[in-house]
Parts: sequence; structure tokens; C-alpha cells
Amino acid sequence: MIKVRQVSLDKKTISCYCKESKINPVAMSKYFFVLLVVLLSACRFVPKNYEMVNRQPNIFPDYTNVVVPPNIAPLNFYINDTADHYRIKISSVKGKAIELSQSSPSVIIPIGKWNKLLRANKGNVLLVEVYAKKGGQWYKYLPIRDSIVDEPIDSYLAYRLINHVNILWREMGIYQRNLENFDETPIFRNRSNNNGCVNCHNFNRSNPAQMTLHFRRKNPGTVLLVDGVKKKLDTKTPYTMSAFSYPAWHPGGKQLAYVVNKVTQIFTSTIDYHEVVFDGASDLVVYDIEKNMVTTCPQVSSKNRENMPAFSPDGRWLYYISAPPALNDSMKMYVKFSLVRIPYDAATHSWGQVDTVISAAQTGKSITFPRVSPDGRYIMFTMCRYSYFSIFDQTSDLYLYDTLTQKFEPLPVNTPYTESYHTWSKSGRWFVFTSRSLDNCYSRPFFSYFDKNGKVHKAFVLPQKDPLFYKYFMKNYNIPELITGRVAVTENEMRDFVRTKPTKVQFDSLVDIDALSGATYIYRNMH
Amino acid sequence: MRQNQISVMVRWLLVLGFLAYVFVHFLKVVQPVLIYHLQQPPFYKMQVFFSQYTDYPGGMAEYAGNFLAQLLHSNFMGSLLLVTSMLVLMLVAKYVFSQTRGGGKGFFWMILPAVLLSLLFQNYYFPYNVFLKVFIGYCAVAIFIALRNRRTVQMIFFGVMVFTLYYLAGSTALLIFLASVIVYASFSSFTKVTPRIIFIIVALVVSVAVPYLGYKYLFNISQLKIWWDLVPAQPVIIRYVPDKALYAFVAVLPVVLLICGLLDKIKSLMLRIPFINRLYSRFSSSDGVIVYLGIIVVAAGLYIVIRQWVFTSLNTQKKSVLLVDYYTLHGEWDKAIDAALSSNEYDLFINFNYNRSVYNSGKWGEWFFKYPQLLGADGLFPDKIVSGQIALVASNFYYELGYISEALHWAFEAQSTTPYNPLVLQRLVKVHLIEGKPEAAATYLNILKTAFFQDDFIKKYSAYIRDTSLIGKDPEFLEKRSFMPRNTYTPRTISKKLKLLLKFNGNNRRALEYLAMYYLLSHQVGNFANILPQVVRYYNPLPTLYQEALVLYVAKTDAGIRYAFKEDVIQSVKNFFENFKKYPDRRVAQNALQQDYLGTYLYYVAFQSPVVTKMQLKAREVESY
Repeated sequence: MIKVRQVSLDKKTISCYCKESKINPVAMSKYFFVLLVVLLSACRFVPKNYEMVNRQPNIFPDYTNVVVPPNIAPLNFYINDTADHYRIKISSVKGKAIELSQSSPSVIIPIGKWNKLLRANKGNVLLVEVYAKKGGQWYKYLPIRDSIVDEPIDSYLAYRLINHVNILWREMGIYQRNLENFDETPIFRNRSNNNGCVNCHNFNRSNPAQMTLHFRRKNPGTVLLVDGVKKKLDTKTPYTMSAFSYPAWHPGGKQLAYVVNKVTQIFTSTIDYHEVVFDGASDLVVYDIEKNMVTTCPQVSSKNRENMPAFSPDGRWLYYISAPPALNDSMKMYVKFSLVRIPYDAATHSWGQVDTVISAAQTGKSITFPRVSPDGRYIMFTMCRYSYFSIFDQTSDLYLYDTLTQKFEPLPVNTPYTESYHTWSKSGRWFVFTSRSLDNCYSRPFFSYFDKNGKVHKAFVLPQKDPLFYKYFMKNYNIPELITGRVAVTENEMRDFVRTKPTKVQFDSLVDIDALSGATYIYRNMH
Repeated sequence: MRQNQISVMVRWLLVLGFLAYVFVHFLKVVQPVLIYHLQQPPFYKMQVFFSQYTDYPGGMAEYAGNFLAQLLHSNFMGSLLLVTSMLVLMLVAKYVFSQTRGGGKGFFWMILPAVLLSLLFQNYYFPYNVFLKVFIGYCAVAIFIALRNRRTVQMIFFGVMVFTLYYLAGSTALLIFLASVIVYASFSSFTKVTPRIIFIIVALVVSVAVPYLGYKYLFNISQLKIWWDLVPAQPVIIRYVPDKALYAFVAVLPVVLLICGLLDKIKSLMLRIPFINRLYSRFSSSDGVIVYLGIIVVAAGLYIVIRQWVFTSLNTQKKSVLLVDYYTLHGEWDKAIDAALSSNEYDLFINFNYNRSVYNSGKWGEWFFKYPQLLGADGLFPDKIVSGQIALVASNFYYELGYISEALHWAFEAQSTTPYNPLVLQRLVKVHLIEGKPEAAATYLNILKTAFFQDDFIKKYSAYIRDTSLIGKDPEFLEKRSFMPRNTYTPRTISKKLKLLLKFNGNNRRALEYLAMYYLLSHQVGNFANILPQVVRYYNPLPTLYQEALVLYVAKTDAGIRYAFKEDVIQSVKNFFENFKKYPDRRVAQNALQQDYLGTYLYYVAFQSPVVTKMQLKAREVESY
């Protein structure tokens, strides 16, 4: 029984108090210290006892051993290894580790902590340690080691989301995704345009202020955004076989190359190449924005089928693919394109002679989508069995041509599934491409680091807030383009602008019309 | 007082009786499973699916409507849903009308929206979520009226509801609400004139401004949908075209409120006349029998109108098309055949499914021409004209034939127009498994796992993903793999496709029989004779229609065909042409010979074939391409 007296609270009094109540202050202090240690032990993140598992955790998507930019959104992932509880520790050399303790196998990394960690650790390794508790026992997997490089990636990715469109379509849209978080906003969705088609979005050297895209069937025309100015064009002329299709910006920002073509598609029973898109005829033209004029020359409007233009970064060369004319049905379809180039002077619209870079005879395959790196040294392209719409060919792969060595080789990012359409970042240190490697069905955007030594590193898929997003998403990411910022035009502005009347483009009166007799002549024969 | 209670009870009994009658009508006649079968209202328990409904006005009502529409998967539950919808609509309408001057107790007026709704529910294309949008508007009106004694709260509610209703149910629901409250305010609320006028002006301005500003700055919608967004954008194959019933349904609440208000004003004016005042007083205090008689007369009149108007408005031809398709999908071949033969008019889709059903039920040779093959060879295969309507039909057709790449192609076409149609996703699972792409099949299975009514399918094919060796042991898949052409381009014409199938597997009996019928339908009996050695492998004796065709061919060309034709077939052909010659007019001949020869190849060749009738397949409205 403790006696209580009314005393003032000084040490002497307390001492007396304790003596009366038979409490030992030293023992109490020790007691609290032990309690503190026990409590802290209970809060320890890394389990005290665990068994090692001699492999990395099985995660989806595969973000193991990848190279990431410091400004990428969190690489949320799903742990396929079943367990009762998980602890995930994400750390690097500097800064506080991110520690997650959860029973769900879906790992959602806090974006603020992630950004902070990555930005503080450029050039360092990112360590991801996964602990899993099963039946009361903790297990630790071999850590995932990713690398954070100094060079950031362009902050946005633009793409079209589309179903497996063959002949029919309904909903589609062009979107832009902030790569530093998970924000995706539409640039244009066709539901406001009575489900008309929108396609072939393209930017000048990753510049979101310079963009082209086409609208078909409903309010048709080509829209150009040039440094805040919007234009809508009617690109059909009496001297070209179609409206403009596949685009390429001249780096000067004042001209674009386009393809004019007569495109057809057929279907096959080849399991890994079900649909073939080919042109009966195709030519290249260049559109001058200031003069509102389209021009060409005999070399790029020949009987051959010219397609897929791409300017070199200095604007002096126009790279494109070329194939012989389609003289019969077999040649139409089983066509193999070579990579060629032609000198071009933007100021005078003058052209040189065509030079073959890589011939189809050399490769035995068909080249498509040539893209010159920003430093002008490399050309990335896709190769498939025939024709140029490589997305439908499961054997389609990416290749890199070195203009210095004049050799090309397949990229290590290739898989047994389709790899196709690629673009460089503005710095040239990153590139994006589409791949169907996740499920052999839908195209997803993958990023890969291209270092200064020309080495291509393991690719990783565009991160999503929900790690299982790609398991449920039934749209293809089409034409991914890295851009350095957000396209400033809002979706509703674009919607309203698309309804405006287009300006007719004028054909260059200085071009000898007979110079177009090649492909145009063939087209007239076909019809 | 007691008389009032009894009269109210009688009215409720009549209402419930009406609803019970409608329930039985939906259950037995309309059959909600057919609504579900046509529309395949999508609902998936996943974030990606939900998020597509959140960024336009009315999306949330469509999402909720699709959820409720899952009940249409069962005839009983679907009928219950539809009748319950009518009941709740009536209850809300009754409340609104009963609180309005001139609306009485609301019993009479509440029937109107219910009758209109029953008309709409009988249209197989009518999306359930359209009703839900309108119903939300009704509820908003009811709450507004319920707050009439708390003016401040009522005005706050009004302000909040304008934006909430616009987002949840769309601009048309908002217009229904605003029109109704404007009318209500004009007649029944606001004892003072000035606040009444101010409120009406504000409501009018809001009705124009809110949808327009929403379109201009907030939502990515088409200009056409600024003020009329009741019907969701749909692909052609399930597109509901608004009709008079819908416009009447949309307008009924504000119009009835207006009528009640006007009637009340007229009544007030009329009662100033002494004679009318005396008459009215006498009637309102008269014996209850007269009141009950009045109720019964009105009820009987309504019943007759409803029966004659509502229940005869069902599109029986459309029902036939759906019924045949439904039975074919479920492998109920004989029911499909019966439904096809019972239909009133020729329909291309009935034709396709009838052909599939007679083949699958083993009646190909004897029953083929019992359905009029008015499009000849064009009625044999679905993809002569490309359109959204034929995509899934074509996929089913080619899947059965074993032309797997074409089944896949058309399944993708179908998915472009109806991406969440579970039938399409099921087809994509199976085709990808057959082609040896289990990873792709897994993607579609993942999505189906979040849908309703897919458990059996998921259970079966998830096992195939876990253990891919099961794919090679599935008899159906084995057969398709043995039939599927590989590594060739796909021909454009059906005859070339069928020949290609036979080239890859001569045992593809379906392809052979379809090719044989193609030849017969297109009057190429010589080509049919060339494949006769393959056809006779499956028949002993040959079906009558094959023999008829060959006898006809031999008679016309003197071709030597080594087959022992049945004597009665030879005689039948002879008699046909002897009788045919008697009638110089083809139509007269057709009528005369119909009784004995309808359903035979002879009758087809002479009277029904498009070679004779010049009938052509009309291009249907296509999706964008």
C-alpha cells in the first residue's frame, strides 16, 4: 500500500516517495530501457531470421536489372511468388530507403519518395530487396539491381491507343503520358468526331510545339501545329495519288516529307504474320509550310515504291525505303524494301542522287521505319519478312546501323515476338519502341538506354500505377513518340479546330509534271 | 374516409394487376434474354473498364445501367427488373403529380410514363441505361418538390442538382429536370410572382449554359450531344434509333405537369360558373358506386388501349432474328430451325444461322431449301459485304469451318466495334489457344474473369493456360488445327476459301458440303458434278436435292454421271418441268408449283434464285473504315 502525502515535487521528495512505495528508480529506468529495445526490435523492417532464396523474385512487369532514367515514374510491380506477407525495401547509395510492408503482392511505390531517391542517386545502383513470409517463415530473394543513369528521358510520350484495327474501327485516340508520373491526357479522341480515324501523329525532334497528324473520313485533313499556330490542310492534289500519309519533319521545322500511296491490305493464314499491308504504288513529297506548297522530284517519285521518310538531324539527307514496282500480285505483297537516302537542300528544294545504304538483297528481309539518331551516327530500323507494316510480323526485330563502320546488327532488346516502331529521345540516349513480348498480342511501349559507347541496355515497359494494368488493357500503343514536354493544345481546342475548313495545298508549278510519270503512271494503269 | 381508402386500394390493385400482366408478357413473349443476347451489355469489375465512363456526362448512369442490365441474362430476373423499373417510375411519377395542382392523387397520370416505358422495353435495341438516366431526372424533380416548404434548402438543392445531374445522367436528364421544375414553379410553387419569374429565368439560362459550357470546356463530346445525349454512342450492330415512344417518354413528365397546371387553372375558372359549380359539388359527394364505376371504366379503357397498342408493338421479325441467333449460339439447332421457319420475312442473318443449324443437326441435304435461299450463294457466307453487323457472325462461320485465321480476323473486327462483348472475347481465347498463343489467350481470360456469367468458360480454359498440353488433347481444338490452312494468303471469294480448306484437309466435310451447296446455289452444277466423288463418301444415298440438281444437269447437258438416281427423283424432275411449261407467266407457275415443290432445289432454281429474281445484297450501314 502506497502512502500518499501532499508534498512538493523535488528530488528529495520523490526519493522519499519512492522509498515509501518501495519503487526502485534505477530498476524502473532499466525496465523502460529494455521495453524500448523490445519495442524497437518489434518495429525492425528487415526480418531478423530469414532463409535466402537463390533467385530474384518473379515480378511482373520485368523490371529486373534494367537501366532507368532519374525522372521515370515509379516502377510498380506485382510479385508472382505467393506469400502471406511481403516487405520490400528500395534503396540506393544516398537518401532514405523506401520500405513497404504489406500483404498484397501489388507493390505501389510512393511517387514522392521514389522521385527523391532516384534524383539523389544518379549514376548509382537501385537495390530492390524483397522479403516474403510463408507459413511463418521469412524468405529473402536475391536483390534486384537496377541502374540509375544521369541522363533523363524526355518527359512525355505521345501515342495512339487503338484496337486491333484491320478494316473496321470505332474508338481511338492520341494521348500523351507524363513519364515522370502516371498522368495520361488525351490530345484527341475520335468520339467527338463521330469516330473518324486519326493517325500518323509525328513531332519534330521531340518538340511538342511542332506536330502533324491526319484525320480521315470525318472532317478529313492534315493538322499542323507549328509553334502555337494551327493549320488544317487539304493535301490532295491532281498531281499526287493520295492525301499525305506517313510523315517526317525536316529538322528546320519548315518542311515535312510525306508519303503518298495506294495502300492495300490482305489477310493470311500465317500464324505469325496474319495481315500484310502493302502499297500498289507510293511516292515521296515534301511540303513547304510557309509556301503551302508540295513538291517532289523524279528520284523520289519513280516507278519504285518509296516510303517511310526520315531526315538526318542536319537536314541534308532524306532517308527512306525503296522497293521495286509491283508488276504482279506476288510482287505487290512479297516486297522487300531497301534502305536508301538522297541529298536534299531545304533552301532550294534541290535533290541529289539516290544512294543505297542497305539493300534488301543484302539482308534478305524488308527494312522499314528508318530513324536517324540525334547525333547522326546511327540509324535504327526495323526488319521484317516482307512489306513495311512490321507490327503484324512476329519475326519483326530492331536493328542498328552504324554509319561509321557501315555495319548493322540486331539489338539485344529483340524477343521472339514483334518489335517494331521506334523513336529516339532528343538527347539520343534513350529510345522507345513497341513490343508484343508481354502477351504476344498487344503492342506496349518499351524504353531502352543507349549509352555513349553505343551499347543498348535491357528494355523496360512503360510503368503504370496498377502493376497488373497490362493484363487487362485491350488497346495497342501505336506510334510511340518521345517528346520533351506537353502538347499545349487542349483536347477540346483540337476538337473544335478539326471542324474548320482546310486550306488546299498547292503543287509546285516548277516541277515538271512528266517527272511524276513513274508511279503515277503505274497507278493509272492499275485502275 | 373509408370509401376513399377502398377506392385507393382498388386503384392500386388495378395497377398491380397491370404490372403482373406486363411481367408475364415480358417473361413469355418479349424474353429479356434476347435483349441481353443482342446488346451484350458490358460490365466488368475492373478499374480500366470503369474509368472510361467517368469523363463524360451521363457516363455514370450508363455504367450503373450496364450493371443492372446483367439481370437481363435471365428471363425471370430480367422481367422482374423491367417491371420493377416501371413500378418505381410510376411511384415517383405519382408522387410528383399528386403534389401538383390538378394532378389529383396521381393514379391516372402515372400510367402514362409506365406505358411508354413498356413500349421502349419491348424494343430489343433499347439500352436499359437510357431509362436510368430519365429516372434519375424524375427523382431529382420529386426531391425538389418534396422540399417545397423549405425554400432555402430547395434552392441549394437545385443548384447542386444541376451540376450533379448533368454529370451523373447527362444533359437530357438535366433538361427533363429543369423543364419539370420550371412548369412546377409556374403553377404550383412560389406564391409571389417576382421570385417565380427569377427562378424560371435562372432555370432557363442554366438549361442552355451548363451543357454548353460542359461541352466547351470540360468534356470531350461531340457537338451533337450537347443537349441530347440520352442514347449512348453505339456500334451499328446494336444501335438504337430514337423513335416517337422515346421522345414521348422524355417529354411526358413536364408535359403532364403542364397539363395538370392548365387543367387546374381551367377548373378554377369554370367553377366560377354557378351551374358547373353545383354539378361538380354533386359529383364529388356522390355515392361511391359511381366513383368505382368510373375507375373501372377508365381502367378497362386503359387496358384495351394498352393491349392493342403496347403489346402489338413488339417487332416480331426482329425477335425471330434474335431467337434464331440465340438458339444457334447455344447449339439448339432444331429450335433455331423452327424459329427460322416460323419467321414472317426473309432475313439475311436468319438465313446464315439457319444454314449453320441445318448442317449441324444433320439435316443439310433434306432441309436446306425449306428456308428460302433468296440471296443464293451470297446467303451462304456472311462477309460478302463488310460491315460491323457481320463481324461476329463471320467469325462464328469461319470457326466452324476450321478457317481459324479468318475466325481470328473477324473476331478482331468485332472487337473493334464492341470491344467488351464477352462472346467476342471468348472467341479470341479459343482461337489464340488453337494457334498456340496461350499468352494472348490469357489476356482475354483475365478480362473475362472480371465479368459475370463466365465461370464455366474461365474454369475450363484457365486450366489450358496452366497446362498447355491440354490444348493438344481437346478434341475440338484438334479438329480445328487439322483443318486450318497455314502460310497462305486468304482468298477473297468464298469458293476459293473453301477449296483452300479442302486442299489442306480433304476430310473437312463441312467445307466440302458448303462448296457443293455454293455450286448448286450459283447454278454451277457442272462443278458440283466434278466433286461428286468426294461428296458420295458421306452419303448413301445422296440427298434428294443433290440428286435433283444432278438429274437436272444430266437432262440439260447429257453429261454422263455414274450414279443410280432414285426413280421418284427422276420422275419429280420430269413432272416439275412439264408443269412449269404449262404456265407462261412465271409468277403463276410459282404459285401453282409451290405446294408440291417448295423446299426443293427445283423450286429454288426456277423461282427463288437471284439469278432469276435479280435480288441483290444491299449494302448495310458500315462502321468507319
